[in-house]
Amino acid sequence: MAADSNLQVKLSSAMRKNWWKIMCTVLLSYTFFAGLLFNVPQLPQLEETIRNLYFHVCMWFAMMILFTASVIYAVRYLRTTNIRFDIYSRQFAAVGILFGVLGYATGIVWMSYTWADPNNAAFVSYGAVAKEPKLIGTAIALLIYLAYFILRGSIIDLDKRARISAVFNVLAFTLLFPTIWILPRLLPSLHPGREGNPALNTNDVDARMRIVFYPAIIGWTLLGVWITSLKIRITLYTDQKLLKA
Amino acid sequence: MKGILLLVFFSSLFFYATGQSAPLQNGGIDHLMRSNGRIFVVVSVMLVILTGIIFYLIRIERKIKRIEKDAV
Repeated sequence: MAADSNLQVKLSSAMRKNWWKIMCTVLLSYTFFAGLLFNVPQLPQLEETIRNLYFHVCMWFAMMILFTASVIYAVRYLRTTNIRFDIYSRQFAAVGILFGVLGYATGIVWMSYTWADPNNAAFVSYGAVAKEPKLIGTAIALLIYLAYFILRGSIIDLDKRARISAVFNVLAFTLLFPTIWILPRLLPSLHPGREGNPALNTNDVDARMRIVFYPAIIGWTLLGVWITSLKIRITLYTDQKLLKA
Repeated sequence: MKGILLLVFFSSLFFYATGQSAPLQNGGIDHLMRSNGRIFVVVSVMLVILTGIIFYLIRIERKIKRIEKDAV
């Protein structure tokens, strides 16, 4: 009996700590289920590929949110000089890049059968796709974040590395504004929604899609946070050993 | 090994992109991708994400294995 209640306490504390992992699983299951089966608006250029909104677009949202978390921890490091925050900041940036690369990779597949599809009435040449401001802007943004890792790798001293890379992280985040938020809204683009807030404008995205899209963003972001938390735990463990040795 | 896996992953993306060079072709993967309202484009996008995340998790797992070895 005692062991039983003990187990219950353990289970409930695990639930309290890990509720967001359960939420991530539930939301992503919902994304895959509803994303493939729910009704979507029928557009001749997109047909069923419009469902990529729940996958391709969510990658970019997750990337932005993870980069935001990264810059928050960079600033917290600068305020407290606690090396923990430096580790958090680094790992959030790393997983942010993962989602950025996945956004690119999924974009390649999607555009191959929509914009750059010769069988499509609205065919656009590869040259026109390459001029797409969102492609160039995000490429620059991702390269800046890759430079962040080059910078980190080139400094051996722990405190110096943490301080310089935290400052660079703030710069990298600031450069997200022109590259992925301002420029794509100013230049002609194949991506829809540049007149307002792409994908968040309620007049732009059909209500049937929003009930899947918003949970999908949260689900994918939580998956990113989950992966990040594992990476953070590994780094904290190895660094502890380093400091003890 | 990791390099080979990454190479396979990224070259599979160009496999999708080769649809452009042969317009109005009606065979093989291209035909499949355009059937049923191009739903298979969504399926491939989902597979790309899944593959990417699993590769990333394998990398993390390798790191953990190395740490476990050091701990013993």
